[in-house]
Amino acid sequence: MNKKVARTIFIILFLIPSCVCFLMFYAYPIVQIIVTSFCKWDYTNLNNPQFYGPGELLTNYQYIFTQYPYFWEALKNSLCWALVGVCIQVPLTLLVAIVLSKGLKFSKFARNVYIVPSVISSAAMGLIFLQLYNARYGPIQQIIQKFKPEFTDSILLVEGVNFWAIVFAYVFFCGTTAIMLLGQIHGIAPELYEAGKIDGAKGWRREWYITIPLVKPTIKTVTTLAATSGFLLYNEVFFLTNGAAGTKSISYIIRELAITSSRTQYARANTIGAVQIVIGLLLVVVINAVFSERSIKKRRGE
Amino acid sequence: MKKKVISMVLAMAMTAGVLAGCGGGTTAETPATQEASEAASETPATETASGEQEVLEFYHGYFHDEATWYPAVVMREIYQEFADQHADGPVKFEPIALDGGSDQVLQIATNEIAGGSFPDMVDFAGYQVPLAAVSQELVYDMKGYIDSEGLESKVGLNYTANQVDGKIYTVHDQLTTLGFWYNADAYAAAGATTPDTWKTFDDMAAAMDTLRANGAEGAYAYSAGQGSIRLFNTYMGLLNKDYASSALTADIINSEEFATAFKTVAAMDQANGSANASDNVGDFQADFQAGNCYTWFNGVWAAGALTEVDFEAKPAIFPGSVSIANAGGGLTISAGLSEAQTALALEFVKYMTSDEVQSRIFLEVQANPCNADVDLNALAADNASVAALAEACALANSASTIVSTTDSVWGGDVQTAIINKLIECSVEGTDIDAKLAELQAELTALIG
Repeated sequence: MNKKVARTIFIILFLIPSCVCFLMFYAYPIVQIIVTSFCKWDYTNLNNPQFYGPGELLTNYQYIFTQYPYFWEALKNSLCWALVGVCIQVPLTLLVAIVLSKGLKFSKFARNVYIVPSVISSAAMGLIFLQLYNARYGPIQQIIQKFKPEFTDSILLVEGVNFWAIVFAYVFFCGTTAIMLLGQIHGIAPELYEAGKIDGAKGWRREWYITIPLVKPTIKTVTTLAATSGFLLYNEVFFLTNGAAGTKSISYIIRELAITSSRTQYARANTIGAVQIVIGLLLVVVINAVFSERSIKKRRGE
Repeated sequence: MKKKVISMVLAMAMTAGVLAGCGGGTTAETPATQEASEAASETPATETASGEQEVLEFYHGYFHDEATWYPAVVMREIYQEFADQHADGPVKFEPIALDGGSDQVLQIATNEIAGGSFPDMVDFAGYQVPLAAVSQELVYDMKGYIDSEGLESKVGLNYTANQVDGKIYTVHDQLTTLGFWYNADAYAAAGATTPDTWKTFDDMAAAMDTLRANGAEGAYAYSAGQGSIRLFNTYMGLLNKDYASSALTADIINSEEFATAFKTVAAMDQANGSANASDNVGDFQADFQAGNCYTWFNGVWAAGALTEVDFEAKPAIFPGSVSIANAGGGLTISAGLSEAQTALALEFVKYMTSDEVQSRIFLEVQANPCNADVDLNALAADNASVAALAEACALANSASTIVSTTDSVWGGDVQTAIINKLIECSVEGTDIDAKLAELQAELTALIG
């Protein structure tokens, strides 16, 4: 066997496990979600999804886009939560990582404290925040009433306010991503900072011109994670408001159709799932485009 | 070279591992085992071909320990006694408590239904049998057995409420019976009229206003949210019982009765305040027990939690003598069992609805038994601890109008939509008419 053939076989053998896993656990479900979104599939034919004919192919999409009452509300909320994740969570994560990288006194302790909430499930977090926001005895309500004594309503039921109540229940917990960034920052060669110092890069300039550009690939990853976790938000919605007062999310309505509805509307749920996949991919594409070298140079006018 | 060989072996092992893992669940059958399995499938034998005892698995949600919820211990004892009685029979009865409770039972059943099967036997504990299980004929029709064994009165309300097209797929050994509980001392102190005098929902609303005006600082009139759907449900029953007990249609959604019921309850909720609204009545239990919530919408089964409060907790039913009683989903058997398994499953239904077990369910589990032959008052006469439960059951059972729960008739998604809109109306200044219009549009789309 010549070396080239042996090498090819060797590569293929190593790739097969990953390819099989990818096809089984990612590609197949995605294809099935998309295919069944063009089918009638509910409690009447659970084991036998029926493909709609050519004239009715978009029946589920038509229902979701034009009749289902919660789709646009859920889409708007999910996109806003994705945007909030990017605009608040990413800068916050970066700031925390930079501060922790300074090796200040108690920074190890602070790092551990910051990471602890990351090991708590979002469902448990939802329950904790439900108590914090409790309108009768929750501390948040009491703080609000210090400034506005006449306010007696539940903040989880006041439209607009409840959106931010849900945001605060997840947006600050980014210990894992902060550690990712911290690892990258620690990997920056000290010589670069020394050189920068000679060029006058001190204080915030040091971070702006040296640290941030060098950890940009990780910032892109963190941004993608923040956007997708905001877009896929479910537990916080379920535990805090159960979708009341304009707080439904895309993931929430998928469950509503597939599980809560006594008619087990799998096809309609998968239709929303297909839309979720497409928008999720678009988010990733947009983030990649924003972080590409070409677009950065263009913005700088180079 | 050595490294390369090791790498090759490793890669081949990984690939083989993945392919083996991806292989079908069925094992290659030797001619002998194939013959045995064919024989087993041809004859509904009581034992497997290898001579092993068949097993009837029964999933239920009574997993709690004594300190958490004593009735669960009693239910497990009842199940175990049946298992012991049939330990030497051809089929082994195996009760399995799921630590996710009845939610997990429903989840397991739903998952199996999606795959075209059904667990041997489950207790849905009030959850409806999924429509998909019925439409795919995955569940066993017990009506023939109930009729032939003369169990009509033993299964009680199940016989009518759970009969679908002449078939009975589920029997719930405990009824979901709902009125509510009130703090009689607080009502008296505030000068509010009591529920037994309420003829209309306006009477109730007036009493709630009195409680708010004259009640103690920090206390509130009632627990809204999940309680509100029960108010809405019973008001619909009072205005038009047919509407409250038939499938939701556009006519019902746009009816005068629907609008009146929604607006009345929404106005009551708004006066009561959004701080006192939750989609889980359990959130208000501590407040009711502490005397801070004067009216608590929970079922008769809550009697056990109210024996040690510092005030007189009395049961009541809704204005105009309306209560909610629902058999709901309960013991449900797979249609794919062997004859012997099916026979044991049916025997278990008979056992659970027997006078003896039903009396225990009333006395020890403190729930409303389905068996209509059990004399609750006679049992309560000898047992002071269940006096309040007996009173609550008697009130609910003798109501002029009895309606089913909203989720059982209209579906869980519809119920969630109505609860959410009522909860939204509880916020001060919310336009109730606008919320009604939104709800009507939502429900019309949901049933489409």
